[in-house]
Amino acid sequence: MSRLLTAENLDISAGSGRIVHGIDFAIDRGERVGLIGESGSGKSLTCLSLMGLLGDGLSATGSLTLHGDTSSPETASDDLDLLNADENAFSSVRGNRMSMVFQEPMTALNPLMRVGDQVAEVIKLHRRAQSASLPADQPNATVEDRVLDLLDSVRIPEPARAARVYPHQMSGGQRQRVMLAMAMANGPELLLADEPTTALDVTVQKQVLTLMAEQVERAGSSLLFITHDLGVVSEVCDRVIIMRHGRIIETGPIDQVFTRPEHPYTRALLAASALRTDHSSGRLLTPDTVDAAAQNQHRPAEDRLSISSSAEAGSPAAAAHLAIAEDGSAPVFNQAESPVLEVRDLTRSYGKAGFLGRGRVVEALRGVSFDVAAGQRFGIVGESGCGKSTLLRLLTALDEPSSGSVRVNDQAISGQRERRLRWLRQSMQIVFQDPMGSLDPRMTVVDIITEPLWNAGRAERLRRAKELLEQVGLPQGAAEKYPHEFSGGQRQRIAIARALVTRPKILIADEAVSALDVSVRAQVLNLLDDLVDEYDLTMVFVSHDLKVVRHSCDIVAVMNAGRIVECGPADAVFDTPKHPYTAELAAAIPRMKDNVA
Amino acid sequence: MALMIVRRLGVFLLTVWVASLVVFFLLSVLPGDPARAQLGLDATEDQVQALREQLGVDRPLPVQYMEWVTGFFTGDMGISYASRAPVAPQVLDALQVSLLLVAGGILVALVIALPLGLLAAVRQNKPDGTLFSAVSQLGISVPNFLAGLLLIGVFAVTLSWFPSGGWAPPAAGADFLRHIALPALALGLVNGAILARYTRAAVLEVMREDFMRTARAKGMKPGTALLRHGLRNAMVPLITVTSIEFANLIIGAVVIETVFVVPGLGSNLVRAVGNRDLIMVQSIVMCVVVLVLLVNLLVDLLRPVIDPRLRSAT
Amino acid sequence: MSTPETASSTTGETPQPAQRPPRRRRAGTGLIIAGGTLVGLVVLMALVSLVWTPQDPTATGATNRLEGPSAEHWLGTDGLGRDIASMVLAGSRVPLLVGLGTVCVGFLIGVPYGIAAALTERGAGLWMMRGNDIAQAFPALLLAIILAAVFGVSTGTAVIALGLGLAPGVARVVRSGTLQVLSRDYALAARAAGRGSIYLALRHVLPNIRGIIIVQATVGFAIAVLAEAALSFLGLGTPPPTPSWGRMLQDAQSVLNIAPLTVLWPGMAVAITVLGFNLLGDGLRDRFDPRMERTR
Repeated sequence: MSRLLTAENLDISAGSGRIVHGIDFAIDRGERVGLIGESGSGKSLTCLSLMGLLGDGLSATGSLTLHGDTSSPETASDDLDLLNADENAFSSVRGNRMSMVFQEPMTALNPLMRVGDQVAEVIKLHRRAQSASLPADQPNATVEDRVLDLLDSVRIPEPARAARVYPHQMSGGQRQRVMLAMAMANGPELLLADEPTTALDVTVQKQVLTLMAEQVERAGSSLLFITHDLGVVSEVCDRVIIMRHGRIIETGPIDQVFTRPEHPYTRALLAASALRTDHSSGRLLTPDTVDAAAQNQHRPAEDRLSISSSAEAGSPAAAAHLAIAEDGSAPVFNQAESPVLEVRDLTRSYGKAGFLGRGRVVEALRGVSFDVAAGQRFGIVGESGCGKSTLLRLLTALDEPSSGSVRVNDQAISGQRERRLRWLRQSMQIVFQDPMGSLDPRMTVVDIITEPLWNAGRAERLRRAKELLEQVGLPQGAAEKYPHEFSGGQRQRIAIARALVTRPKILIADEAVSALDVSVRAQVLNLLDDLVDEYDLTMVFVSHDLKVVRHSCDIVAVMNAGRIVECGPADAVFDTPKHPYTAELAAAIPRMKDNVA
Repeated sequence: MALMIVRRLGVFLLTVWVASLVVFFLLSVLPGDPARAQLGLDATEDQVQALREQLGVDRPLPVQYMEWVTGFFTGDMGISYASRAPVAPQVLDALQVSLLLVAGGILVALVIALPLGLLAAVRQNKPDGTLFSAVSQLGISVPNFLAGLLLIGVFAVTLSWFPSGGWAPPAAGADFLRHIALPALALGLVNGAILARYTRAAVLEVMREDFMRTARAKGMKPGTALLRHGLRNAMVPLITVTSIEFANLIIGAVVIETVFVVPGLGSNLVRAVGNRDLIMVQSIVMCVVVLVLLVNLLVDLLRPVIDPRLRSAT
Repeated sequence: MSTPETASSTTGETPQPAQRPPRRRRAGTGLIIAGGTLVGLVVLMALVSLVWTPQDPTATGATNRLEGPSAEHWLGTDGLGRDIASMVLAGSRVPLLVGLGTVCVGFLIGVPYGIAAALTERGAGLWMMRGNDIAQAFPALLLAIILAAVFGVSTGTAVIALGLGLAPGVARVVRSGTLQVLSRDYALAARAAGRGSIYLALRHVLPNIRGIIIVQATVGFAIAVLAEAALSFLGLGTPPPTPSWGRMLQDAQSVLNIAPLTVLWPGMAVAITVLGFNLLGDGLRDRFDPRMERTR
């Protein structure tokens, strides 16, 4: 197999600061390489430097060579020095010999141009150069035919119609397929994919990954797949490169790296990605504990042997495992004797209030009933648009239902005036997804944490804030600082501290770890586990991430299209799903090639 | 799409109606009795009453309002307090002149703004780009009437290329062009500078968009990508801004007309204010407001043509 | 209890780069210094003119009309024989006062209105913004002319009219900034903690839109100075004998063919003042929020 791309001593810097430190790697023809790293590792910049698309103020040095195809004498000398190529030479390579799929499908297409035209454009741009690479069976195909073929090959239904629509009329998954069609249009030698499925739902992600693997295989292209997700990389790549802080720390065939990782960071990353727990304590392995755990744990871990002890105590063993009936009628899920949280026939529809005349009505919730008993950890999973955010706003009385009721400790909270909900505001707290957006950048940590305390004096606030900072594992000195001085994980700890300052009974976690890097995620989940025990909390955990919900919750409700379709003990729901949607969801989780001890 | 047009028209009519109420309140209700104001305190009650009847202000306010509004849209705007002549013909003549001037102004503004703004964006952080930005920055700091005075000083007084003021109708051909040149330039220069800054901002914004990176990744050169994908997207915010600038231009014309003694809405307005000819002021103000609202309506209807995302939305 | 401090340091988790851009110098510093200098200069002129001017700016003289620059009259005299240098100095007071008054009126109305419209977005806010749209069809200068027609010519009328004219634009920008703040999770967290709208407005919204407000105020100041000059030029602003740049320009137009240079001094004064505020506004915008929409 011949070499396609060589990077030697590649440096990327912003002004005087180096971000990528002299990395070396190579990609062979037809090889599929995964470039893995957490945020700030320099993986995306590395990818952009290959395309010559580094932003203003960023510069790359070293050497980057795209080799000619040695199997044919005409192309054997087509070597291109990517770092010194002029605009003309580079332009004829981009979209032709090398192409790229970006992370964010919603913004990567021109909103004012029909989809078909955007695909046609890349064909026309390189027409002369690539006439040889057109499929042999249709040498005279027009550009229009080729566009329809491409759209069809990425399984866009009704390609002829799809070619005429604008990007905003397509879903995210469809747009990413269009991107893939554009990238593959000229049969590239190298496809670069920068987190191409991170913005997609898990079932859509599965489809796009399969498609990408298939396309790359058919065209004989090489693939450089940039991701933070070890599961995703297992689906498409043969070889992986692990990056951290702008350096390559480990590289090798995926089976070898995932089963016998050499670098401690790789081990930690693998453990954290799989949410692997320590055999004795039931706690998630974190970068600090992974090596210690590996040493005293020589037999294969029986996965998920234990959730933390109190959760087991809190959950009635007999939690029923139910799904909605064939005729669509939904039972009351997880029915309990004296529930802390009681939701009945909850619906919420949004009528788009037009200024003149009415807009369409969107039914976000369509009849949801369930209970949560004291001490339970109740997980709600579903893909975007399933209604989980709406449900969450209703549970916290931040929005009014269209019909149905929510009762907390046997008191109705929906339809109440804010003044009569003061007790609820003290006994129920929320931890949000985005640790950046959930802390006011202009408030000090002490003010943020004690915001829910209405009547406390300054001294009392400071005392409580420091107490909580210690509990969430931050130094007391953090109290007077501002949010931007903290990392993502630390900010989420602050958010947790704020949620606990009133000593609530119920904690609602809204995608609380979704925005965090995997190694930080494990630490925050452990912290949440500890605090739920310590404060004797009932927890409702909303997430799109099935693995996290399975780890953190004992009861799981699966939502789809505004309803709960299935609910029951976490393991039962995922291992023996009763509803086809749950089965689909479970099957779509990227499986990591991992059988490490 | 049709529904949207109907809805926009509905909103427009409603807005015009509310605006007419505001204008009527400001200029017919707030000032009190126009007859007494005109005749002064020495006039006898009979004299005042006679004038009230002549002006039609002795009737109840709702009747006066209805009369004025229907009159306004049917070409009967009442009798001028000052000249005792019908208002409508004067306003219509002036409107024609003002529209020509504003059209000239917007033309000048666009011709200046689009290339200047584009260059300033593309050549950002380079000496010439910075120079363009600095020029536009200076441009927006000069009041348009000052620009007018300077133009008169240079091209009329010193060089005698153009007349320093006055007006000729379009039928006059070259004479019309000679008369409209300086006022249109004065109007357009300043608004062009403002528009240039918006153009620069819009183009810079678009150049940061993901789809521009996609275009580059397809193998487009930066210039081609900007022409094929960037400009049309930059138009979307620019259309809105142009409508705001259009309103500014209409107001700017009020001052410019006075500088160049152009018999448009503006100079009539200023003279009517001086004469306390409130019925005239009221008609001209309503005219200006309707113009501004009309431009907004046109832009609202134009935006979906350019941006398909707006076609389905309400 | 875990030990995240050490844990974070070993995972080497660093704050996201978006948080701390690699800045060489704080954005907009150059513009802020340039604009601040010009504005400072004008303010200094106004202050100096309170205690001292080369000549009495209102004293006319029949014998020394339209004189050129001399030791006695640094910038010459105008058509009534008044000392131009003194008038330019003293003429800075009115624009600055009108600017200040306009911004105060505009913001006292616009800021609460915009925040209220955002807080009641789904209910009254929609109608409030409709009303705002209608108000925007009455540009500041037109409003000032109307009020001058109704109440007569005075500085106070001008300030109120320009302030009222400025308010809808301020309200629109403040509303969109407020909506941005309210869409953040921290606003939701405050509501979930039982905090009411007033707390939200004071504690979260105002501090976070502070930048927008400062930028808008600076831009509003520039607009007000321009509008005041135009009004005075039309004879609808500050009545005589108070010196004002706009009226100096009006006077200059009548002698334009004899003494064209009389336009320059008040003209430059207006332009420099406006330029100062515009530069300041641009610099502050670069510093506070580089991507915020611009009004005017």
